[in-house]
Amino acid sequence: MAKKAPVSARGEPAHSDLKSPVLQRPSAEVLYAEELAALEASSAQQARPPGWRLTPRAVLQFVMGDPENGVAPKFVGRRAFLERCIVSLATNRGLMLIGEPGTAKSHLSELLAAAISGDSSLTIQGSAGTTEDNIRYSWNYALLVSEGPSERSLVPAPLYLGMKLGQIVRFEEITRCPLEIQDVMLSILSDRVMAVPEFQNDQRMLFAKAGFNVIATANTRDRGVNEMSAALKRRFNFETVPPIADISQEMELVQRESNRHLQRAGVPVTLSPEMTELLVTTFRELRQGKTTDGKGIEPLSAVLSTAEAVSTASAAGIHAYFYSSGVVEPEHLVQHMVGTVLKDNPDDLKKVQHYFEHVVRKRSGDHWKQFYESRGELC
Amino acid sequence: MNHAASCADAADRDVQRLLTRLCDIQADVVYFPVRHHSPACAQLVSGLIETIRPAAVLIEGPSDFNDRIDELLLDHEMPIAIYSYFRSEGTHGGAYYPFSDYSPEWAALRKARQRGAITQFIDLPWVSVAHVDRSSHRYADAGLRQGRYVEQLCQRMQVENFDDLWDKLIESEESLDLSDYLLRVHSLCFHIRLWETTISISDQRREAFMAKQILAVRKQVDGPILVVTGGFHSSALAARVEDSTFPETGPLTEESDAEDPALPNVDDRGISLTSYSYERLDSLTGYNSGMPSPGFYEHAWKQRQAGVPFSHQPLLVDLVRELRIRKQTFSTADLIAVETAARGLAAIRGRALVWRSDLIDAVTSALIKDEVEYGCRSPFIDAVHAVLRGTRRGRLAAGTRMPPLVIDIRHQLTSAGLEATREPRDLELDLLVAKDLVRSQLLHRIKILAIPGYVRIGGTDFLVRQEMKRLWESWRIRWSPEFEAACIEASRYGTSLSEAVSSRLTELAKEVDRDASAAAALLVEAAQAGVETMSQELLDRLDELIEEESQFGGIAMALEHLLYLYCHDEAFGTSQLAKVGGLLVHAFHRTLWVLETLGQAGVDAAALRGMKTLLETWQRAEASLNLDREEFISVLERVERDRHKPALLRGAAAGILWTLGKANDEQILADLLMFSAPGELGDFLAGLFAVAREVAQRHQSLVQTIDRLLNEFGADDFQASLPSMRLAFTCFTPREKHHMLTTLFESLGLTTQQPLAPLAVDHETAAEALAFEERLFEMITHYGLEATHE
Repeated sequence: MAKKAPVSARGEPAHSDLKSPVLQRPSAEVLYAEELAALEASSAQQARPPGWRLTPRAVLQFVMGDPENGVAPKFVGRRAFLERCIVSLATNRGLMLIGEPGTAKSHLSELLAAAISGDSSLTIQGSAGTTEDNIRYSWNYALLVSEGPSERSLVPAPLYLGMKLGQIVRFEEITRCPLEIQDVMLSILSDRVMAVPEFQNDQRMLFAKAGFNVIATANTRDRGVNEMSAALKRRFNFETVPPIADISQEMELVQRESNRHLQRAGVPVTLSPEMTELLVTTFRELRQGKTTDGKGIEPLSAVLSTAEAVSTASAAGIHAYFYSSGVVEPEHLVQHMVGTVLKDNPDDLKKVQHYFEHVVRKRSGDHWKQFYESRGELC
Repeated sequence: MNHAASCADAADRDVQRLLTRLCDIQADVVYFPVRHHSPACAQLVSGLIETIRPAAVLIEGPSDFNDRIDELLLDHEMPIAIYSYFRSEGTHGGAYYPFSDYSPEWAALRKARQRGAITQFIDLPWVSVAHVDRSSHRYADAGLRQGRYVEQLCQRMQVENFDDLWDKLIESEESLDLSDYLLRVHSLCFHIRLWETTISISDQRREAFMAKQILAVRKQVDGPILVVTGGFHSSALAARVEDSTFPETGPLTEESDAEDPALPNVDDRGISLTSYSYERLDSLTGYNSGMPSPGFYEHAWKQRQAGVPFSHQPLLVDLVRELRIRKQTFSTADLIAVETAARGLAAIRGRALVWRSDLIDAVTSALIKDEVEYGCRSPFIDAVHAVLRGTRRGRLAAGTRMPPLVIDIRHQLTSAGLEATREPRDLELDLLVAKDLVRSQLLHRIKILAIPGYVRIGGTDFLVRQEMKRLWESWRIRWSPEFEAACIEASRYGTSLSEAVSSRLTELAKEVDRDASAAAALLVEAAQAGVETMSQELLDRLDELIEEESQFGGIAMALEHLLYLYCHDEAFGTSQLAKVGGLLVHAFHRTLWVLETLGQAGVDAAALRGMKTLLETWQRAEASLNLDREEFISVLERVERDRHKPALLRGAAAGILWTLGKANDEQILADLLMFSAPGELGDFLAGLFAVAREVAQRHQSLVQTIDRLLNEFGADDFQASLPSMRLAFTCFTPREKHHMLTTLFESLGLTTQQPLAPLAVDHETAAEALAFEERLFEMITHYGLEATHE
């Protein structure tokens, strides 16, 4: 059901899964219920967009974190970027988050929905098989036949619910839907009304309650699967979610998240700081096409997101535990880089080899040397 | 613990005491802290001068300009700048003190003059600290931007960076009054200083100097003195001037208190006014950056001056106009969206007014419908920045002393005997003669700055490099009425000719987009104008362009230009020059990489030329540049073995390996057999011959194998391979071909060489006959009717 594991949960506190041990992955509004309640209470007297549970500033505080008031940071990103996202949701345009896979777009949309509406569950998952029924509403045919069209026989889909309740609706991977399905959103986003022709008289039109808006995500690698129409683009404000800008923040995140994954998988192995450095530096350099000292290299065509780094690290950890000494060594990283990084473009292999020959070889430090020695695992 | 606490208390009391003193406008020395180019400061400082009527106004500005300070009050069109420059052994430099209409220093200067106060610049001449402080924008705010205090405060105030912080605290607060302003800026700057671990030597020296100036003026005049300096210095100045028991703002080293610190040896120095532009003011980055978006702040200043509340609407109108000029789709609905978003952003940032960053972010949010990489450009963002930047360019009033560049150009032209006359004259120069070379360099510099009157009408082409026996040039010189204006215009590039040329070349290089060969051509141009015009920025930019180049032809051409400069140049003095060598190494590696990723398409004569250049670079520069043999060989081996690469390249790679002795004769012969298909043989040989001409023609069995392969071809196959075979052999001279044939005939035992008999019929008839014969033999084979020996 969910598109992917929450590997991109930038900045989630490590103790979070202790709270609800039963669920594999509780939703943001459950996980952060206390913080949300506190923020709601403290901003109760201030003006806010109609239908919002928190003020825009409190939403920002919730997402970026506010150590002084005990709000944990949940997303690593620039303030201006988040401000723009939140403001977009208060206008009459939807918010479109685009970016490379693994940059925490879905995570961000979940946080925003949880903060603004207190509910991140109104989610439409875009795919080639998404139909209008999944978006608007469908019918319980037994009831429909016996009672005729009524509220009881209607099965609401997320968009219907969002409009009715005045909540944020999330539309994941919108560009995976065929164009005609995407266009269902057109009239709803501009007129904020959904026609239910089966109903009688004044029930025929469902007018959106204040607070309704849409956060869509689209991944830039999949563009071309289905383009978006200009008409739909016009109804969204676009925001590009960039990879994490600061290397130390990224290292911290990768180390924390991969250790958490390993812990969850029951593997008592942790990633050493040296290994994290190897992995994050390599991923960043190959992603940006530039070494840390400013020399240019060839960027890969494969996706090298933070989330990919985390999954490579966890795979290396599991490998080290079950098939090796239990300590993650550079060779494990190289082995698992092959699987996660070298997807289908054979040129990428050349580029990585070139990178090892020209960049890794010249690095000093034992771990870099070992990393270079393990380059044989690359093919 | 208690002790520490009481220390902290004492320190707090000291801090409070100093802050109270700084904010006191009744004192006999009043310190007004500014952020350079802040309109709010400009307005408040004017008001303060009206209120306290100081006897003297002392401004942070170059004290070596004091004797010409009146020149500033002429009727200039803003922005202008004071330009301070020096030249000493092996180094030179220049720095600007730019002023705009809304600069606080400018406002203070004019208002003080109006009120008849003594006005003086009190900063240490830049030349005295240039060796420790290279920042060329003297009104930048590097001291304020960085540091932990600003970082923390930004977080606390929920803003993104120092610019936003300043806007939030000062600029966008319309009702901010003087006492509030003083308190905010003094405590901001003072705390930045307190948190700073070290204060740079340059700042310490400047502050010592400024304090001394203040004390000197103090002795001369009665009545209050107003000191207008960057806020970063105010507290330190007060501490030095007033009372040494004020909290230390950074450790004082002995050096800083030394009387008149020893100047570095300076051969030539000067200071002068020059015109400036908003574009330059805005384009400064990093250590040199000051307040951005001059157009925006000018707008804010004008509205303040007119006493009307700030409105961003006129800027939006400008933005619409700019976007329409740039042919971007921008509907009324979009305008509404931008306006709504801007107001929303201002609200979430807790501001009643739509301010600078709100506008930029609103455009980003509402108009861009695509992925934007951080730091990448988008036409919409470019447009909004252009509007906020403004287009104003300064012009110096008549009667201002000429900028030094103009004087320098005139002086150089006169001493080289190259003054333009009304009668055109032609000049021919031999570049191997030192005197002529100097003149040629001068003329090239003039040409690069686009100063009219000097045209190169002929000479050796150093980009094509075909006729290199004689290195010469010919120029036509003729007086032009535009000459002087163009020289003044060019002053913005620098004060001396060589400096101006190197910044112009850097600018040109920045305009080049993904084209390494064009960039390398610029380097050749720089060489023609003299090696000293190759600035580090130019080289850095070339480095970037080399990195971005992804076409093999392009990068190989760049490599060729660089190789010429590094190894073959006789006239310009670039040969074996380390900085060119660095670029050459980079280009060499990049060429290898592009070669490795090269696919089937786009391989032509230029690619072959590139392979030759690679080999030549290796042969000429291997030793002096420490090129990596292992890497070179391994790349070539991979190319040679790669079945996805075209035969031409694989041939050339094989040829290079053969030449370097990394491939033996058997390997080459084996390769040749692999390429025996008629479509490939010629291409492979063309590649092989192009780089391994010497080895190939001396190699008997190679020619024999080719002969055998050709004999095995059927007539159609032979026809198909003929064009590329012809091309392959064109790289040999007739004599070499003759030699190869002789070897072949000898090895086949054909001793007598008889010329082919001339055809008795015309070639069409002959071709027909051949074709007929061919068909006949085919049919015979087809029906199995060949004659056998039995």
